[in-house]
Amino acid sequence: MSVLSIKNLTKSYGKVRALNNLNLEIEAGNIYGLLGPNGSGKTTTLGIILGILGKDNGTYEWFDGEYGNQHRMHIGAILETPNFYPYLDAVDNLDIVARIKNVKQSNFDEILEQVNLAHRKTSKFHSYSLGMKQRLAIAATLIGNPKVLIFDEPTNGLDPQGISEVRDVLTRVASNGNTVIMASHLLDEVEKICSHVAIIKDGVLRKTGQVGALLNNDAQVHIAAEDMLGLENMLLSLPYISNVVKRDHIIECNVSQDKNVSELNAKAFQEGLLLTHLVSKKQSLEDEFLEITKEL
Amino acid sequence: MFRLLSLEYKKFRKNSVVSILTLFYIILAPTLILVAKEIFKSTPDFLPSSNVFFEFPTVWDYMGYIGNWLTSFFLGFVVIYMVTSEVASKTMRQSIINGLNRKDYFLGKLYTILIFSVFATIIYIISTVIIGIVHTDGYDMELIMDSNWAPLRYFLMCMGYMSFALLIGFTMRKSGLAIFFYLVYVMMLEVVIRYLQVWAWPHEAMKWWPMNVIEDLMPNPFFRLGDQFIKNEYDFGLLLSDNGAMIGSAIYIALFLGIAWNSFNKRDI
Repeated sequence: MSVLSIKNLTKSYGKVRALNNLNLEIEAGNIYGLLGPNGSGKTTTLGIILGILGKDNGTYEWFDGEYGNQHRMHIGAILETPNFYPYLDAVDNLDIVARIKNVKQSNFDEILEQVNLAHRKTSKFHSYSLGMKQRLAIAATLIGNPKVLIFDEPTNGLDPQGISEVRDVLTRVASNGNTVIMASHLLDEVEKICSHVAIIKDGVLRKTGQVGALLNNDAQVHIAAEDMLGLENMLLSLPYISNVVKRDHIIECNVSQDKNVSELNAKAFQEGLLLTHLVSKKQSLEDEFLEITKEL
Repeated sequence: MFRLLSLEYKKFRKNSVVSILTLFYIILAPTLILVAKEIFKSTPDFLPSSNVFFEFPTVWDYMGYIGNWLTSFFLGFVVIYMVTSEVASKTMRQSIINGLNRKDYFLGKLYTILIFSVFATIIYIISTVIIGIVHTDGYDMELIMDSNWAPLRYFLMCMGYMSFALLIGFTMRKSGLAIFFYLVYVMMLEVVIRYLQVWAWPHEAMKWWPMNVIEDLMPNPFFRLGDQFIKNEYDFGLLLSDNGAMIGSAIYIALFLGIAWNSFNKRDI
């Protein structure tokens, strides 16, 4: 079931086109990583689907139109920064969110416990560290048990400690079975948390799909031997080796995912080749992301 | 309506700027005339007695004129602050993200100025009646009620200033700029424009500028005394009639709110 369907979404800021006929489908229960370089249109997309930015053209529909204008009541979202009343404490701020969402909730201890903020619940928002502010924002998104959670750069500006805290909370939240859309620069994080990714560049969707399917699961190997010509000939003859590229004193190639790199070592030994270098490298989301965004 | 009002109350009940400005208004509205009584002991030459400030029915006019200044200043600032502070802290956009639709957000502010206006009018009525009763010899209900619809005019005046402040808040968004423009326009700019208009084209159209229409709901009582003199000089008086001011204000209030809503509804937040 689709929770969000975006069709031909277009938005310009003056002469700059932020979104250019963007199409995207988000299925229920998945954790989507929305990736793209700065200025690619991620936040603009989220701003439009959350009702704070206007669109020039195109359509989007939440929950197949099931909730009409009430769809945002079923979404918990943080866009860019945690936004709260600085002179109110955590409980008052969460109470305001609950009132907006028409949720009858008088005790926010459980939600604050989830983000490790219960001990500071009576402190004013302006006295919080950036990490605590971000965690309170995550707590606010959980009010009313929304069907969809949206996080835009949730670890932006945080120190390593803050990133670690927010990452823990996000991992917990994401494991609850909600549909999550997370725009982030932290590709390693997206790779760990998300089941799906959508890569946007220049306001156009470049690639989307499951993280596993998007990544080339073949291991990339850097290999060298005293007899480089013999090594190259051996690699070219093996059916499970592809993309053989010779670079200076190293050969790069891909080893099919069903083969172990150690088998390559054994084969070279059988052929009388003495390997001087053998490094296996799994392709990461970052590699794929850089490749997709570079080639365009 | 109650949900939106309670939401606004929850947002601002612990805000020191809103609390202090509102408190100043609540204290000054009924007491300023009494402070003035202590400071200005001598009666102006053209008045039979300084008691005219405190007696029925003229106490309605003097209390109303003081309220005019206080409302334009304190309550106008409160409304601008309530809008622009939400822009600055991005809680306006977060409210929309959290599920409030733009209409409800705007209605929340509108209901707030409505409630502020009602309470300000109640303070005006209660303090005027008390001051009038204390200072008037031989008053009766007919004399007390001889207010020429003053409470209604006061209510419209409050709505007028605060809907203008709402318009400035929603269109300018930055608190410093909005307060500066509001102050300059209410205190100076329109006055200058009106006098330039009189200089270029002496016509009673100069009375229909928005702040003048709202101010004429509760005008300076001394202007009423001098208006006949002005009429003889220019063929038209300085002040609008009470009915004219009420109708004009109602139109301007609708216009301010309409433009404010249009601006808020169409722009990116």
